[in-house]
Parts: sequence; C-alpha cells; structure tokens
Amino acid sequence: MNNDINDHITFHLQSSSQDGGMRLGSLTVHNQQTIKTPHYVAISSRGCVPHVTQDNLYRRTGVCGMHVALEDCEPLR
Amino acid sequence: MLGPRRHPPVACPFPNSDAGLSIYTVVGFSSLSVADYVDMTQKMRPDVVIGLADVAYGTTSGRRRHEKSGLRTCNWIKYSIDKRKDSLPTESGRHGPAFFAPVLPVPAEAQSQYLKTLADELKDDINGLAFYDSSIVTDFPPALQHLPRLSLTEPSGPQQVLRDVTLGVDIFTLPFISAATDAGIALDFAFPVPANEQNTTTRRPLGTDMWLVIHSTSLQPLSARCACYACSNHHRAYIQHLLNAKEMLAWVLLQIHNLQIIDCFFAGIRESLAGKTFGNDAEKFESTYEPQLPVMTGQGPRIRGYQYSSRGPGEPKRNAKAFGILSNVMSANSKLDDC
Repeated sequence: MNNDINDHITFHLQSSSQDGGMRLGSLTVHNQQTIKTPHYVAISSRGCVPHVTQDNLYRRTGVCGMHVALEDCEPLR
Repeated sequence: MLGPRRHPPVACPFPNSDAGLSIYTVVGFSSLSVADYVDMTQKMRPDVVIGLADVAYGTTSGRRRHEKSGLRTCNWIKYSIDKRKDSLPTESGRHGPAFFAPVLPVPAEAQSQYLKTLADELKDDINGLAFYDSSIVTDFPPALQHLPRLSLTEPSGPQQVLRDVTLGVDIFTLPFISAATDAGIALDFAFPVPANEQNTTTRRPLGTDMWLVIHSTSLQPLSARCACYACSNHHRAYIQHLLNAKEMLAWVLLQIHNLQIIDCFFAGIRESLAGKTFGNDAEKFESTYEPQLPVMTGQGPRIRGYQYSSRGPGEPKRNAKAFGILSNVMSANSKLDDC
C-alpha cells in the first residue's frame, strides 16, 4: 500500500497465527471509522438492512458496515 | 461495500458472457458490462468496490468453464483498475473507493493465471480480496497475505463462521442473520461459551423459535444475557404475540436482537484470538451447541421480489392472498365456526 489511491482504506494485521490461519486486524476507512476484524458487514437492500429503519440502525444496533448490490440500484437512469 | 450482485443472489436463466455478468434487477434479468459497472461505481462513490467477477451462480461447471472464467475475470479486473487510475487525480486529498479484487469459487489451479496476475502485477492497486468459497483462502498467494479478506460465502451458522475464522477470513457477510429473523427465530449463543453453560449433557439450541405457544406467557427476555433494545424492554410473550398478529414490530425487535447477538459473537472471537485461546473456545462451542439453527415453524414476512424468481409457467404464488371477495371470506369463516 504505497500510493495515494490506497489512502482511502488501510488494513493493519495485528496478529496472525504461525500456520497462516486466523488473524486479528483493523480496517480503517477514510481515516475515520475503524472496524476491528474478524467482523461482519450487514447485508442490505440499497442501504436498508431488512426490518430496521435508518434511525434504529444507528441508535439500536452496532452495525458498522453494509454490503450494497448494484443490481438492486439498476437502472440508475 | 458495493458489489455487483445481492448476497445471496438469485440465479439467472442465462449465463454470463464476455459482454457482461447476468444480473437480476427490479425490471428483470439483464447483463452488466464491466464498463457500465466501473462507470456506475465511480458515480456512487462507496467506501469499497468489489470487482466484477465471472461467477456462475446456481450452476456447476467443468474445468474449461473455470479456466474461461479466470481469464474473463482477469480482463475485467485489469480494465477496472486501469479506469480507476485514469479517473483519480494524482494530488492527494481526493480519495477514491478502495478496490477489492474478487477470487473465484473455482479450484486454485483453474484460476492460477489470474491469481498470479493479481500477485505480480496488480498487488499495489488492490486493497483487499473478496471471495465466494472459503476453501480458496489457504491458496491465496503469499504476496497478497496482507490484504483484508471479505467473505461472500453463505455460512450455515456460527460454527461455520468459526471454521472460516480459523482459515483466516477477516470480514463476513452473513445471510443467516436475516434468514433467522424472517423465520421468527431469536438467536441465543455466546462465544466463548459462558462457564455456566458448558458441560451440559444435551446440546443447547442456537436460537429460540418465537412462534411457539409456550412463549405466550413468558416474561423472560429473548436471551438471558443480551443487552439489546428488545431484551431490555420487552418479554418473550410480547414478541410471540406480535409474530402471531403478523405485526412488523415482531421482525424489527427480532432483527435488532439478532444483530446484537452477532456483534457480541464477533467481539468474543476477537477477545479469544487476542488471548490465544481460540482453538479451545471453538471446540467448546462446537460441542455445546446444536450444529444447525432451529427449523422455521411459523410464517415469515412477505416474500420479496429480490428473494426469488419464477421458474416456469403455472407456479403457485409465494405469498398468501391477503384479501378476498367479502361474501366468500364470510362463508368460509362461518363454515369453520360450524365445525
């Protein structure tokens, strides 16, 4: 990771086991939010996690990342 | 994190081609070309873009098809990276999305050329790896070991998550959370297994089916040690009532609870890894809990369009009819009363 394009996200491996298996790390996005790994991202439909509105998502859950599908957003025009 | 397809995706009737990936949109099946994908992801500006991969969903393919998909994905990724470099200005201060290169769910030998290209030529241009089959993790090239790993697999439950952590997965996507919520199941497991729950003669279930009538008078929370909004404010009896009344709040509370259980699960995994007790803790978890999530007994929420596609003519409707002609409904009910 040694040029500008990669400034957006950085991943630090804090520890990994000797035989190349499990690992602890931290993923930092935008130099703001850090997600400690192993962790999960919620699956969403265009940013909506099923059954949970955005206000409840922020207030009542600890979800710190989500997966969005482009096919749900097509057609964009 | 923006990827081309939902997770898990609906299988498309026509296969991928050099022209693009088959996708299932709100207006029907379509083909997504890499040029359009790159263009749209640049406009949407997510934090992470998952590269377009020639993954054949819902079909099994032979060796030749695997090699062809390796080559096609390699071309698509090279194109995507070139376009990214063209679009980003060279001054720092303007950041573009991170790019996660996909790794195909085919044997490592079939995509060896692609993996070699990633490791040799493109390793400075990619910020992570996204893969569709956990068994490939052990075959990642050494040059790419430092990259974060995003799993787009479908673990069947927490035991599979623990096995994948052992293989070296960093970030998970877990369809079973929403599947459990839709089924009315409140997840109830903890990692590491608390001392008072170990050494039981029968295995503990991974969750509770909240449809069961046995909960209709229960003043217990969904899970004894959970601090989520649902467990702090409501009883099992209320949620059982909401489910039977088919109220939306049932699934809202269940989803909030299930997300909290999974948050605590991963916090426990990280603590266990830091304390170097993960192997033992994972073994205790496997022996304490049942291997599968509970089976759904009640009715889930309405099936949504993105969850399925029809297979052929004459298929029955997925959702029960909500309204009928009044006189027919009344006479049907009065027949029931007579019985």
